[in-house]
Amino acid sequence: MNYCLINPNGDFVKVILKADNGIRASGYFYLIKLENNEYQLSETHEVRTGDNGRDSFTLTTLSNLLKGQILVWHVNSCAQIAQGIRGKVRVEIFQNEKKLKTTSKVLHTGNFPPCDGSEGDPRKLKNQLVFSEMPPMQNIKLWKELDL
Amino acid sequence: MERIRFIILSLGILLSVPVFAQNDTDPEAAFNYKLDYSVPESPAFSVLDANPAMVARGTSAQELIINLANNLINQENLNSGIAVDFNPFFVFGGKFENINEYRGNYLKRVLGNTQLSFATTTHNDFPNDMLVSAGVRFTLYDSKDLLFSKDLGKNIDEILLPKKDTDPYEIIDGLNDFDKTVDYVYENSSVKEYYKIYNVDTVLVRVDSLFLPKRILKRKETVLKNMGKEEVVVKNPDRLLHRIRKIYKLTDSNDWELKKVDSLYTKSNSSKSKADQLKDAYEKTKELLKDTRGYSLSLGFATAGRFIDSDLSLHNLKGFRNQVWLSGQLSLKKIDLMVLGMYRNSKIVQQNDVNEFMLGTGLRYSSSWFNIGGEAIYSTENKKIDLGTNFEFLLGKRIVFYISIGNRSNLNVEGRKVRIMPGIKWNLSE
Repeated sequence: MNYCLINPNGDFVKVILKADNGIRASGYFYLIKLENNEYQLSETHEVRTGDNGRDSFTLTTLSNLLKGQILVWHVNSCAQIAQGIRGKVRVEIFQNEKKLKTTSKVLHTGNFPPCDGSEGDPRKLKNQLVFSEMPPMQNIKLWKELDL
Repeated sequence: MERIRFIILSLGILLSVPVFAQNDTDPEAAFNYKLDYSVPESPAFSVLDANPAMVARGTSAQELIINLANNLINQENLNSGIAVDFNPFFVFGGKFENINEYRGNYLKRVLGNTQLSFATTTHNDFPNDMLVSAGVRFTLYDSKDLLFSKDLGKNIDEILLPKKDTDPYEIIDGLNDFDKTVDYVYENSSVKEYYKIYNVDTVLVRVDSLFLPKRILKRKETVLKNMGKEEVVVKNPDRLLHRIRKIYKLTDSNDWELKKVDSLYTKSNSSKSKADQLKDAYEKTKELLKDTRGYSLSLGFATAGRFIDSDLSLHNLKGFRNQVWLSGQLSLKKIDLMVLGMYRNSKIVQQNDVNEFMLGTGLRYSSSWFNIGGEAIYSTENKKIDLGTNFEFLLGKRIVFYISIGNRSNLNVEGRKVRIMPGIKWNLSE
């Protein structure tokens, strides 16, 4: 499981989806919480990186309620510059204008099929992370080593 | 002798392609390029007069292409030749930040549309020598470049959007992409419950959800439609069934039946695949562009030399020809009007260098599977107009066969000769 460390007393959390080399990515981000042993969908955000190669949204859930909630994304992607099929699509999480740490990279890399459909369906990018509170000071060194 | 040399050099060029294509992460990246039907002529072939048409297209070239020309039908000076064309910007790791950078950064876009080529051929005037050439071609402007279509970009974004889920269990289940690995379905028609079995007896999950047992399956009909009649061979079906019942607390019944799923249930969806939708979006954009006027302009430079006695050492390399040209294209629906201005310097044995200006114009009709073109070229040296016509046919997805017929004045030969030159262009596909 990939964890994202947030400050429960900080600002609202902002999520950015970035794609380089003319890759286009569109999809949905879902925020899911566990309540009474049942998963519940608390937020849905549509993203399209478009011509700029990036899109973002801000979670409306207060940061102090995010602990344990799961951010899931289902995104489809393709390379619009037909010869530039190699690229990166990454998810970045920000709070108080600072990039938040995650326990493993939130990065999709490699070849992307051309957007003209000649090589088949778009590439599916699916993943999730769990929001967790920032650890106490004495553990920060450990987290640093795990960071991107 | 010439043929043997040609074959050896051809093999050398073919083997050298992977070297050009290599980068540190994916040595096969360049092979993913596909051959477009209206690929422009090879610059390296141009300086050797091995192209089917003298008046070159001005449109963007973005592929890795192998050109084979064959002049064996008649006895003109030039014999068979081979050329490799590729896009150096992407092959050597160049990248654009995004589509807006492609549109806004002119210099980078020109680099991204640059075509570099190397070619070799043999020549009857120098029967013991080997002719080699290198050329580069910059697309300075192409108004029909699909990357400029903002509407196409928006359509792609829309098509890329996956199905929007509202069920959190579906969303989490979707992360596992289990649809790709489903093998069997357990069905109990009497109680209307059934379960997907992933990787035979290793993973068992409900069709609709990994987390909610005993939920009513939403897509039952679709799944049933895809069930094959083939008998399922499972190591220990009773044990498997027992596990399923235990895990999911199934209704106690003897009507359970194990069936193989012959295709993924998601594929049975009758709606168009994303790939087909994307193809449609591109076709629509191309159709719209066909009905509008378009312009393109390209600049090329090429140089050719010959290795005396086919000795591939540098001191045996003698100059043969240099040329620089500017070509433009005006597209009116299915008709293209092309113009060419070229300066050419040729080094003829036992004569002074010949410097000539060439002016050419051509017309081309394009349909979905063939092109027909005609051209006229005037040379200041010969003071004659050469005429030619060429045909291109699409053979399959990645191969174009072409043949050109025309008269070509020859600098060191009296009169003009009719030249018939067939050839093919294709990619080294994956």
